Amino acid sequence: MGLRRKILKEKYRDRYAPWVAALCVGLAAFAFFFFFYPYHLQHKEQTLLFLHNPDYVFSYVGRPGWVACLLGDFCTQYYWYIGAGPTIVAIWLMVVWLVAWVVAKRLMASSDWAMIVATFVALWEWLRECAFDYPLSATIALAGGMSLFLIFAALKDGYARTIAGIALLAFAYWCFAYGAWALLVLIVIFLLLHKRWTYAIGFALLGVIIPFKSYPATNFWSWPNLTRERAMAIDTEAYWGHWHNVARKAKEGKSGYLDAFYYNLGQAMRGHLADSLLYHPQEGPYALLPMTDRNSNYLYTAAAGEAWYRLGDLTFAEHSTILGMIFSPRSEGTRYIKRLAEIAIINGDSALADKYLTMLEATAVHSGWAKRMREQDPKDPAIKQLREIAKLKPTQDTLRFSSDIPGPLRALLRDNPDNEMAYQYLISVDLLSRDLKSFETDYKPQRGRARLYDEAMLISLLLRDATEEELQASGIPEATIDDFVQYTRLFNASGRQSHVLKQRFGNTYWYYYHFSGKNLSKNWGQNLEGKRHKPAPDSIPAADTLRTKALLRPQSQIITSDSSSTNEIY
Amino acid sequence: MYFKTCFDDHKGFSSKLSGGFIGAFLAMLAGCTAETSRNASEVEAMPEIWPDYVGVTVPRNIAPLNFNMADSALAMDVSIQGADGTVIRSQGREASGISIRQWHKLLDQNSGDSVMVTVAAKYADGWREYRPFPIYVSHDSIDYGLTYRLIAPGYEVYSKMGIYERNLSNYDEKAILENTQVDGCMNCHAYNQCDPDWYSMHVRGPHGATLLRKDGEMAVYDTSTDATLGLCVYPYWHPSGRYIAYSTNNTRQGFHISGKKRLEVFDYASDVQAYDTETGQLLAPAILKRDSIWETFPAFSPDGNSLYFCAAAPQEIPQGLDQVRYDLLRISFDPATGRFGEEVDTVIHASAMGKSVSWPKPSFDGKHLAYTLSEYGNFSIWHPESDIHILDLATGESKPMAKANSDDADSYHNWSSNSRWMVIGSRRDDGWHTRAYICHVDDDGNASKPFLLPQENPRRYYDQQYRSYNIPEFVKRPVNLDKFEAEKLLTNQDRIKMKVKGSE
Repeated sequence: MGLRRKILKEKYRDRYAPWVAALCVGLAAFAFFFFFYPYHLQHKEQTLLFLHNPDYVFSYVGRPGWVACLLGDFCTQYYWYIGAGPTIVAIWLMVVWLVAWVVAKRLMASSDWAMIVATFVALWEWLRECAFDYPLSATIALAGGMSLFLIFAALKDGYARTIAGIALLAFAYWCFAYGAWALLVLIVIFLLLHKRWTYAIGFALLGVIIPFKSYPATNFWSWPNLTRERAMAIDTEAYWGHWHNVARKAKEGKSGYLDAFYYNLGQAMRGHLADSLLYHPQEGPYALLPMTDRNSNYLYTAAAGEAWYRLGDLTFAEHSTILGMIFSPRSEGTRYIKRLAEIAIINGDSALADKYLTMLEATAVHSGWAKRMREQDPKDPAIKQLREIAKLKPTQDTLRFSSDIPGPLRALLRDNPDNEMAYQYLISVDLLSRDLKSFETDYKPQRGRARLYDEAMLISLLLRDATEEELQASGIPEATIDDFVQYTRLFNASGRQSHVLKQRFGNTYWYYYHFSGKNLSKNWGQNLEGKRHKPAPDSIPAADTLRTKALLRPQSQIITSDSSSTNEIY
Repeated sequence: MYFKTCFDDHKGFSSKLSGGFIGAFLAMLAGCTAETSRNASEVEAMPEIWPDYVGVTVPRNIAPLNFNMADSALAMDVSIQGADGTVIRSQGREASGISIRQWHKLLDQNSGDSVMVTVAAKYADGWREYRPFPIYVSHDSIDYGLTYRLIAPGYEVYSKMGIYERNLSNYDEKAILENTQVDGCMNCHAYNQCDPDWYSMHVRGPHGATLLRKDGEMAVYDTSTDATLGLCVYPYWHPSGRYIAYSTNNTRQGFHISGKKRLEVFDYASDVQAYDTETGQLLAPAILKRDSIWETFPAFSPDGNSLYFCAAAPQEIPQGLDQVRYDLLRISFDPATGRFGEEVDTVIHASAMGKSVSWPKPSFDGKHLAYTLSEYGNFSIWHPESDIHILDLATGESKPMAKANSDDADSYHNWSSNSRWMVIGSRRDDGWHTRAYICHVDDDGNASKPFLLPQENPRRYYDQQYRSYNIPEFVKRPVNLDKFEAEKLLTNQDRIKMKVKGSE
């Protein structure tokens, strides 16, 4: 009885254990990609354009690995839906596990070892799926290549099997590209295990004629990159228009231009830029509006387009979007096409808009959006947003270099003085580039005050030896002046030690002015006249000058009412 | 359902397949909706098709001019009838799907005449048959292919780009060189009168160099010298193959913040010079490198005895950008000595008309010179008002190529080796992407209505093409550039240094 139960137990274990193990792998993968790594998958959808028309589908057929690529891209387009990406990836990893298990069992005749091997293969593929540019088609190619081995292994030994093996390799390359290498490796192992030395060598030599490319796989090995996941999360939240999430997630990132950029954009979209600018590490004005060069990350390039779009400079928004798309892993993507369509609609470029909308109408998940764009229903929030952006477009033309950031912001404000976001960006650009001369010109206190602006104005007043009357007229609150005096004292007493000042004054403009934002490119702010908005280095007052002026100035010139604090200092 | 073959030649073998299983299978495989249109209602108007191929003139060796219905037709049925009564027929759900073999046969039979195209389109209420339209078939053949750079419109920094070669008799396209091989911006390139064995290409970036292929032999050059403004930019071969004229430009790019124009490319300074491939010397005469004149766009005359170029009086940039107007000038050149003349003739005094000339291109038969005329500046592809003009070199008369031009920018152009065909970079389709249009030019310099570079399914192809056709040039035969050799030469930092004559 005991023996029978044991046999039955083993029988059931053999029958169900692989399925349970595969399911566990699938569930674990789903949980990982759903809870910890969803934005990478979202990004893969954004950088793909899969069209549902016969010509497009047939265009896959001529390429190596067309079955894997077609199937992979077809599945990837559905990553758009929340949870669909993790589900699809989990299913394919289960397929990889099961195929690897059957293959390993065929080679080793041990179910337990086969499960271990299958788990390793699935885990390896899982990790590779963590790369931002690793396509699902590569996973399918691997599964496809391994599957074909089972046909080879099922054939009888002899010439027929050899010929079939060669045919299978050609077929594998045609359908699964680098999956042919997986097949070849398995065939060689199989022949070696069966002591078919000559055949094994012969097949190994066949590897010479298989192109030594990993296509469609983009990497042999990868590892979850949570920093990049967070960057993609911020970027995707911006794509979705969830500005609160953008600002919140960007705030969590302590450094990096993309964090700072999206932090600023998120705050600006909610009208909080002036109040929150220095509550995040800032490294100069590039974090407001990035400059693009040939080494630029495509995320960063396209992100610049997002900011210019929101500001109303559609020429540069279009330019940055198109570069972002070209730089992206596949040089295409629904996200970019959607933005280009929006810009074309606002600009009244109907032929161009039609081109982009026609493409989007041929997609599975964005066709509805494209139809809404065509219908132009004024009640549609997306259409309302387009019309809001259209109002920001400058009416007078000017020329600008891509390195000139303040210039176009001023042009936007010149034609639309109510463009509050352009105003806040312009002031922030002046401040982060430490260009106080421009700040004084651009700053309009009647548009609203902010502590940041008062802090900057205090330095400005000090640098131009402002009179007491000017200080009074500036309307800067006493508390801010007090803090400035204390900052100056501490700056002097500490011997310019930033760490001493950071805790109390780390979020002030005075601290930024002294210790941050000095990494400007040589072309920063260059306009077409060759003039730069950035002050020349020797015109930036040294800390000594600032301190000396603050200390030497008669008490009454700076402090107008709170004599107690002035006594304490002076 | 009754299926006919997709490509139903009334005289050909394929008619035997009608109604057969293989025919049906092929029809399904080709994605066609082959069905009868015999009960179609007749429409008096001509069909609205895209690209607009109604009444165009084509060379007999061009690829089939497939087209789509401009409206939302469900399917189309196309019959093309030659003067001898031969009919080729095709059906397609989206595009006309004309057979390459049958098309070429039909065009060969009707060379010098025309073929009539009858289009029937299927709509929800049934088939409609439109009035036939002609396609004129010229005796003049066209070169083997077209080469061009594909690049994102409005580029400033480069990423993925390349120079490609297209077989004009079919739809085959292949890369000549892509910057996935060599990190750099594949830039201005030129052949000697469409002969790809004589090739000049400039690459910018970390592997920057000028790649020269002379009679099939490749070498890479560093073209900057202390005595000249900078690198060699716009090239033009001397017909002998010994010299290459170049401009050297201090160029920048600026963006319009509003309006139809997106960007401007302009010079702060420019000169013209020539490289003698036999002596390895750069000829930079003082008359072509004056500070008081911006010289650019050189082009040797077909007899090799003179050099055309554009020149403008310098202006303050950007205030004076819209006052920068280039005239077309000519200077004599002695190929035996490599000496330029002492005087410069004004050929087109465009600045006096408030216009600006760019891209002078003499026809290789020496009869005409085509150029672009715009309001100002020299980067005319971004100027919607740009049009191609043609100068009769015998009479000095100049006129716009009216039939070839459009309401949008028509700019960069090149001649075929027999000077009977011209390729034009035009933004007429969407104002943003430059596409290659080809027109016939007769002995008197009259252009025919141009046709868009054919594709198997033009709507799909061009809708999904995000890049512009930049610097299209005809080639007599495949370029056959050894990509690996080119890559090796460019990535190796060894460069032949150009030296200015008289400076050694």
